[in-house]
Amino acid sequence: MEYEAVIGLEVHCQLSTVSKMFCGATTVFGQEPNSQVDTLTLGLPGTLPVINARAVELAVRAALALGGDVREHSKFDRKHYFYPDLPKGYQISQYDQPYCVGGAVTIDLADGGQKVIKLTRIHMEEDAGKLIHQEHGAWSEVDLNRAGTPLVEIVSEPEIRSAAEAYAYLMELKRALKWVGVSDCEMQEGSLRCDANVSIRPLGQAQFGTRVEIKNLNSFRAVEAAINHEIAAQSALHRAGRYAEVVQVTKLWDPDARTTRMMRGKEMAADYRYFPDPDLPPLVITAAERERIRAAMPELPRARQERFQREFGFERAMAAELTAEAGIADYVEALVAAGAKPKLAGNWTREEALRLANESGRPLAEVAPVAAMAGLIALVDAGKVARVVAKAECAELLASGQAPEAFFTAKGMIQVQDAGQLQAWVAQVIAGEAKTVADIRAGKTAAVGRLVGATMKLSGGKADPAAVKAEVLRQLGIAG
Amino acid sequence: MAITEKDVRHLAKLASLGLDDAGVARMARELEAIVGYVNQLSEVDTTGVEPVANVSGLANVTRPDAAGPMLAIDAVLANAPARNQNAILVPKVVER
Repeated sequence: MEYEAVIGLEVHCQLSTVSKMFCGATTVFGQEPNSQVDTLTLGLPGTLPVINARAVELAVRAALALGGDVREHSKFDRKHYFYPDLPKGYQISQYDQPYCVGGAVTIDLADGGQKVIKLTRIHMEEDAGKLIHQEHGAWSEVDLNRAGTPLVEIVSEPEIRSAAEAYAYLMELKRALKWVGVSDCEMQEGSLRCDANVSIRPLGQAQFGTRVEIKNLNSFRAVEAAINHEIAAQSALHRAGRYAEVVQVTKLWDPDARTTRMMRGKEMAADYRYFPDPDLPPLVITAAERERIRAAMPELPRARQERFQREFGFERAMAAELTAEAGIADYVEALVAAGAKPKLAGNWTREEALRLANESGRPLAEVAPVAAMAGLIALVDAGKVARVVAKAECAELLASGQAPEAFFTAKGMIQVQDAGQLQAWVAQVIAGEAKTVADIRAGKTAAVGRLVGATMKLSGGKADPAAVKAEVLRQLGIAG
Repeated sequence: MAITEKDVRHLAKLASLGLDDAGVARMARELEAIVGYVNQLSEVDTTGVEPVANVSGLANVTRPDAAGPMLAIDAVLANAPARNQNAILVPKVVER
């Protein structure tokens, strides 16, 4: 029997603020435990929360980037549970009046098509502290630095149908949120976290199956692996006639064992006793405020990806890669503005500039200045420098800070356009490669490449490979 | 408004409180009295009154995103039952 997975994702995203959601304690990652704590973080009596205006603005940016409906009226509620990561005994969240309803994430499918995953809602809340359970000891260690950090929780409709779609959804979400400066979305640092609700049903069945919630998914690959694992487990039980054993539970993903383990069963289903937080007056986001924030939004990544495909003639994969981050897309457009043909700008960014940036960990425009890169592309495009030579010398040129033409002239690498010189080089190579020539005449036309290579070597890289090939074919009397 | 012993046991579990049978019976009586007292509010006729979640009459009380004063780590840990360097130690808890 064929099965279809039904998956909904809940993504928590930390907002890039200096201070916490409701107090002035700071939010820097990786600091000494309990060094970013104030009286409110500790939930001490007499403290009162005050909303961080920047967190609200970033949350609205997130909502607008995802096409959500920003509500004028929303409020904050208390979500109660007793756990050492939450000193107050409740988390401030938004329950029945979230600040954003709806929205959508468009993903690219492997078959070349697209799919729109609708969002249920987005709400603001505060993060809990971090617990580290001692592996061998009897203790758990509590670090409250993260407690109170502002989050948005983005809840998708159960419209995701495979682990691959879930992966694509998360990548697209991350791209959009980073793009508009809402969050740095580092899963390893916990600034983007994901819980997955997974069920299966026989293909064609309209009714949903029993869903299992999986937590502790702390990388994109973990999300993919955990979902695949859960789909396989539920399908196997269904096939064996034991589907009744699939019950509504919460499981934890164990990335080392690549399996899930039970966290809590249905009988322990959460009972959070939400009620409106009397310490916080309601939040009003006026249409004027919303539109002010919208006006300051950049062109969104998906729109830019589609524009790159349309205006620059990029394939989808290339357009996606070059709009993975705003900085990359800006760089490509700067090369085009400096005169590079869009396809060449795209290819050189992909193959050289991005590689150099990744290797050095420095920004693109610093490691591959636009003027130098555009100059290099122009030299290759004009046939003045061989592409292979340009690629080999690219890193050195960019590091040298020299003007490209001066750099290649000094190295004697400007291609010789002189036809007589070219003919002489080719004739010399052909004379010395009798066996290769015989191979070619016997039908091994691929061996022509060997003659081209030998000529390039003889010329010291100064010949134009395309012209060399044409000359080789001409001298051998073969039609090109 | 009846508060049953079952309600009390559920609440005790949510609040991580250990109650013996006598405690459960006592809490049921006391909670019933408290909830009954508050429940007098339901006798007020609220026909035509808009529900409110907050009575301050305020909206959008916010502050700029700026770092404020924080506590020294020793002050943060002053009430901790135990510590390991700068982390608070609590008896090992299961994930939830």
